[in-house]
Amino acid sequence: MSQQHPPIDDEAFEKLQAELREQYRQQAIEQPPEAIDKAILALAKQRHTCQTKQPTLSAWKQHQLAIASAASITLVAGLLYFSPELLHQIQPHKSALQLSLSDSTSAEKLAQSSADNVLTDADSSVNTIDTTALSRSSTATEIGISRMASTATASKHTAQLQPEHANELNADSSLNDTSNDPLAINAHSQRGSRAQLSASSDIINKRPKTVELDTAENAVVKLTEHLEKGQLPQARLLLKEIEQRFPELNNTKHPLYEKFIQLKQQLTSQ
Amino acid sequence: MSQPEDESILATSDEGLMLAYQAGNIMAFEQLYQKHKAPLYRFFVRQLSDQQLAQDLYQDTWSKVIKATAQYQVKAKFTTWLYKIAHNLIIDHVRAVKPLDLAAKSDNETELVNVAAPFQRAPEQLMQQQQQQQDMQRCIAKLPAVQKEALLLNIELGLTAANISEIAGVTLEATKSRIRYAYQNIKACIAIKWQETGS
Repeated sequence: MSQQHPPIDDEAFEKLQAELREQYRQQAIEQPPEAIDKAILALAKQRHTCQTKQPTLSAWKQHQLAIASAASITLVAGLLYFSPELLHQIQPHKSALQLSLSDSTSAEKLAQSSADNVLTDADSSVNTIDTTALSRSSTATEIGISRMASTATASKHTAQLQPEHANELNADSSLNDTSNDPLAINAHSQRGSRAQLSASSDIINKRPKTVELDTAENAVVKLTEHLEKGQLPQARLLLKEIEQRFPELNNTKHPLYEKFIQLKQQLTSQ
Repeated sequence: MSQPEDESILATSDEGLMLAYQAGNIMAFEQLYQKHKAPLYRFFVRQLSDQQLAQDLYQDTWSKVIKATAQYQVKAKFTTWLYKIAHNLIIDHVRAVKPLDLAAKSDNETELVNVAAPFQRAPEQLMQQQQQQQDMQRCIAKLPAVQKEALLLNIELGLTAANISEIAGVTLEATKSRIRYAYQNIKACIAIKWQETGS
C-alpha cells in the first residue's frame, strides 16, 4: 500500500506546491447550498436580535422588585379601602403583636406606670391603707408587689412620699438587693419579664374585643349593659362603633331596630 | 447602513468584522460569511465522504461561531479560530462514529500511501480538464486523514505550517511533514492516473 517517494529539496517542493495549488484552484468550485446559507444568516440575525433585546429584559428585571412591591401595597390598600371590616379584625391582632414584640423598655414602662398608679393611690391614702392592702392591690406584677411593699412600708414611716422619690427608693432598694448577687439579678430580670408579659396579657384581656361584637344582637346587649351600669362614655363609644359596623340596625325592618333606637334615645337624653 | 460605514467594513480584517458583528452589525457577519463559506464548505466536503454529514458539520461550525460571538476576543487569527472549531467537530465525529480511525491516524501520520489505487476509466466524452479535476479530487480523497486536513488547509486557504499546527494541535515539524507527504502523494497519484488514462 505504501510507496516511498524520493526526498525532494525545498525548491522542488515549492514548485510542486505551486503547480498543484493552481490545479486545485481550477476545480475548487463547490459552494454550500443556498438553503444552508439562508439558515446560517437567519441564525446570525436572530442572535443579533436577541442581543439587542436583552437590555429591555434586564431593565424589566431591575425594576421587578419595585413593581412587585408597589403592586402588593396597592392590593392591600385596595382591600382595606373596600372592606374596612378587615381593618377592625386586624387591629386587635396588630396591637397584641405590637405588645408582645415591644422591647423590654416599653414593657418596663408599663410595669412602672402601673406601679406609679398604685404609688399615687398609696400616697393619697397612706394612713388608711395598710401594707397588705397595698400589696393586694398591686398583684398585677410580682415586681410591683415587692416594690410596693417596701415603698409602702417606707411611706408608713415617713408619712409623706412623692412618686419620684418612691421610684428612686425602688431603684435603690432593687439595686441594693441585687447588685451583689448575679443570680439575683437574673432572677430579677426573669421576674421582670414575667411581670411584663402578665401586664401585657392583662391589658389585652381588658381591651374591648371586636370579636364580642360579632353580631348585632351581642352589640345591643353590651350597649344595654353599659347603660344599666351607667357607663356612659363606654356606651357612647360602643354606640359609635355599632353604627359603623351594624348600619342595618337603623333599618326599620330589623328586629332589633326598636330596642336600638330606644337605647340610642336613652343615651342621647342623658 | 451608510456608505462610509460599508467602506470601513470592507477595509476591516476578519477579526474587525467579527468584533463589528459582536457590537451588533449584522452586515459585518454577512461579509465574513461570504468570504469564508466556500473554503470552509470544501474543507468538510473533501474530508468527509458523506455529503450530508459535511453539510451538517459545516452548519454546526457557523452555529458555534455565532453562539461564541458574545465571548469573542481577538487572541488569534479568525481563520485559525474558525478552522479549529471545524477540526474539533470532525475529530468529535470521528471519535463518536469511528473510534478505530483514530488508532489508524498515528500510523498514517508519515506514511506515504499509494493513493493511485485502481480508478475507473473516465468516459471518453469528458473533457481532459474535467478528468484532471476529478482525478485530483479522488487523489485528495484517498489521502490519510491527517495529511488531507493539512493539505486542504494549506492548498485551499494558504495557511502556513505554523497556523495548521495550531489548528490541528500538533507540533510544527509533524505538520510540515504532513504537508510535504500530502503533496508528494497527490503528485504521484495524479501521475499514475494520467499514465493510466494515457493523457
